[in-house]
Amino acid sequence: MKSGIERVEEQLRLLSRGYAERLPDRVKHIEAVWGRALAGGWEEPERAALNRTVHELKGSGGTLGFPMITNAARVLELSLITIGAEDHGPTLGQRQEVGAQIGALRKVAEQARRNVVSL
Amino acid sequence: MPRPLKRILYVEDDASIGKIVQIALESVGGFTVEACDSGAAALERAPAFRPDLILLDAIMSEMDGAATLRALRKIPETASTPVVFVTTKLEPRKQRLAERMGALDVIFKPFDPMRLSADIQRIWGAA
Repeated sequence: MKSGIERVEEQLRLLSRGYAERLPDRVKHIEAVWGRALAGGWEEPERAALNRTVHELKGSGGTLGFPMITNAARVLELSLITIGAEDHGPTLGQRQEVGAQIGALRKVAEQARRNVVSL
Repeated sequence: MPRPLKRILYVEDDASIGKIVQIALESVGGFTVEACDSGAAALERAPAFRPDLILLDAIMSEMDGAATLRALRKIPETASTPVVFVTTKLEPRKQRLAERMGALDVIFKPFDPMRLSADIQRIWGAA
């Protein structure tokens, strides 16, 4: 018979698995919001929505057992903070940098999903 | 804190974290938890729930942690309820704000859900 702690750990594992399965969709959402923010002239509320979505991923990744998600989201968030501190929207270089960071986030999200699916 | 900690009002709008924290606090810590997915929900449920402690996410989409706390302070049942903010280490402004608003402490994301109850008990015991 499982102990109370083992039952909790099992529940947490199930939640973690469900989270990992949804990770690629969350990254797709970030890509979509980033695209809307650029297309909309880097205005609110798209900027705020982008920052919040990335921030949430940063906080939730490690908490649910995926520190690589937190790390990748942290890098992306730092770039967005830098861009947000400037008066203009992202430069071409910054766009490329953020694009690459979203790509890196997509890779670790896919890896996390594959890992839990293969368990 | 002289009395034992039993009832926690937990406010977090990210459902993926909200559920895992609720399970951990209830099952590992043995707390009674009222989980709210927004500041507005917290304001609605707090008076009847009468929490011993409020665990409050600093960054939420509709009403952030600071605005939620200001509103909770206007409700007699939560006017002086101790609060712990949850935020990330990249948010020094939120951390300073939490201190100014009289928060007991700040818990940083990401955190280990299995250790969260012990951390909260430590904060409660030290207050």
